[in-house]
Amino acid sequence: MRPQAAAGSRPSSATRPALVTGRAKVIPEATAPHMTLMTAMAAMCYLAVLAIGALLMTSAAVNSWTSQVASEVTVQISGADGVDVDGDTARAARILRDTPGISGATVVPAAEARRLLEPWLGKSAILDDLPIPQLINVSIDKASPPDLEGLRARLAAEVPSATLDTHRRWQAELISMAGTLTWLAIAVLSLIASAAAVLVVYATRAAMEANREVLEVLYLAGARDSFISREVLWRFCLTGLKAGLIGALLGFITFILLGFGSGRLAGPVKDFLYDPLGASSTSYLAILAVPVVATVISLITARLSISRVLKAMF
Amino acid sequence: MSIVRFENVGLRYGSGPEVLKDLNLTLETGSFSFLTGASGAGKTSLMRMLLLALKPTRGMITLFGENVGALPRSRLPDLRRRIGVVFQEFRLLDHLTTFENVALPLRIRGAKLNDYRDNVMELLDWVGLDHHANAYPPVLSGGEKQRAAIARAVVSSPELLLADEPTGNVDPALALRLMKLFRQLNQFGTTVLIATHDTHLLETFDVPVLQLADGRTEWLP
Ligand SMILES: Nc1ncnc2c1ncn2[C@@H]1O[C@H](COP(=O)(O)OP(=O)(O)OP(=O)(O)O)[C@@H](O)[C@H]1O
Ligand SMILES: [Mg+2]
Repeated sequence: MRPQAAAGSRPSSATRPALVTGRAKVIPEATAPHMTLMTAMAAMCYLAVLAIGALLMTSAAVNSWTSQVASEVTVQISGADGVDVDGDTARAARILRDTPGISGATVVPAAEARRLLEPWLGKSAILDDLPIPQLINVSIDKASPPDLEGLRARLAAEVPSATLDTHRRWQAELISMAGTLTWLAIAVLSLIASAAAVLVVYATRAAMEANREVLEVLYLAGARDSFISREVLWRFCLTGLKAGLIGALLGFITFILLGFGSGRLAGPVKDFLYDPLGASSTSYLAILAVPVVATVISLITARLSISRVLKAMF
Repeated sequence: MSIVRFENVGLRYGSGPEVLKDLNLTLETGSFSFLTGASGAGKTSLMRMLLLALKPTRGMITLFGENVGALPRSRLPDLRRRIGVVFQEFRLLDHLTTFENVALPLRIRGAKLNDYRDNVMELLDWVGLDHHANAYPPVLSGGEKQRAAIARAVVSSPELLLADEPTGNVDPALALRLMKLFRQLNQFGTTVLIATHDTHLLETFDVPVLQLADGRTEWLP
């Protein structure tokens, strides 16, 4: 017996080989295309997770701002010449307290108003000379909000120096910014998905090209496209899933690091870590969709690509 | 009943000269024939056309009563499954064991390991490779590879067996044994076509010989 033959087989023909598994993969694994694909896909999944995370954080911030802003309006009594600021303030406050749906009206003391302006104007003496408007903070009963337009009209009629600031414009701008960011994130995510699909197409071709000889033997032995597809597909499925999980994991780690590094981001990240199913963090589970989507993209693209390559090959 | 029919079949590779010209031949179902001809005469090319691995540039091939030129791609596997083939260069898959290589046609047909394990082992036993069942082709000798390739070709009991130089790498005694295996299969109903230029083999067996020369075929008397 030739020595090298003995290495892979049992020397005795009296007993049957015990290790006849017959289960080796019919198509050898072309490792190189899969490693390349996995690395690139993992990077893309990571980017996708970052995009989703950024989107979620922005929309959470916008939500919390707009709800705070919506529960508060301000009335300003302009300090122009010839206006009885104190009298107008008292009258406006009375009207406000009379209005149903308003739970409170607090006159902001002049010192406080000055402090609010300081960041813009500095601590100089100019402030003493300026006609600083008197502010009244109005809190709204969110359960039965007041008729703000009616209130505006009544103030205009009875206290001409008073203006009602509902922050509506500010709110509208925030909402439109959030909308823009959402579209931007969707565009980035679709771009990443298409790039991933293109990668999968190339990797499929490379993997099949590397195994052309094997594929031909299978073909001539009567294999159908579906058989070969199945044999090739499971590997792409696995690569997509692995890449997605790596990307998602790196994404989480990034968020945690960012969260510890910056107080502003810490909130949502902590919410997620300590209460992953809580209302404020449920949306973070969207990140877990990344590995799923990556697998699905791999599967569908590889399936289509395999059929095309097979038809072109044989 | 003919299992194979060539009508005015011509073949050229790319824009080269016609390798096969105006082939007109029939193989009867259940027949046993040799295909001979000098090296480069086109024996392998003819077999590749029979295996639907190569399309003729002109003419019509009828296989199992079907005009193969008119068949959609999706029907070809069905026809190929009725054919067993021993390639001249074996074409065993190096990453599969001898057992797995031989069982490949069964696996492709969706058979379960538990259903075919014994049959495959029996066949390996028959061709003298049972103790190499777990060896990979790169460590097999030329003759051992050849026997593995033959076992793979016959494992699915094909209706048509095409063997390209199946005795090229074995000693005369083993060649005779393998020929007996082919004869046995033929007695069970398999149509056999064996390409060879082993004149000794042609003399030993009294079977029809198809001679290929100048791109044309001719039955030798
Ligand atoms: N893929 C190919 N591309 C171009 N020419 C080819 C190809 N395959 C074979 N040929 C040519 O076709 C002719 C017939 O080759 P073929 O392999 O069919 O001969 P053969 O009878 O099997 O020879 P041998 O006995 O040496 O195996 C040869 O001249 C060869 O050069
Ligand atoms: Mg040849």
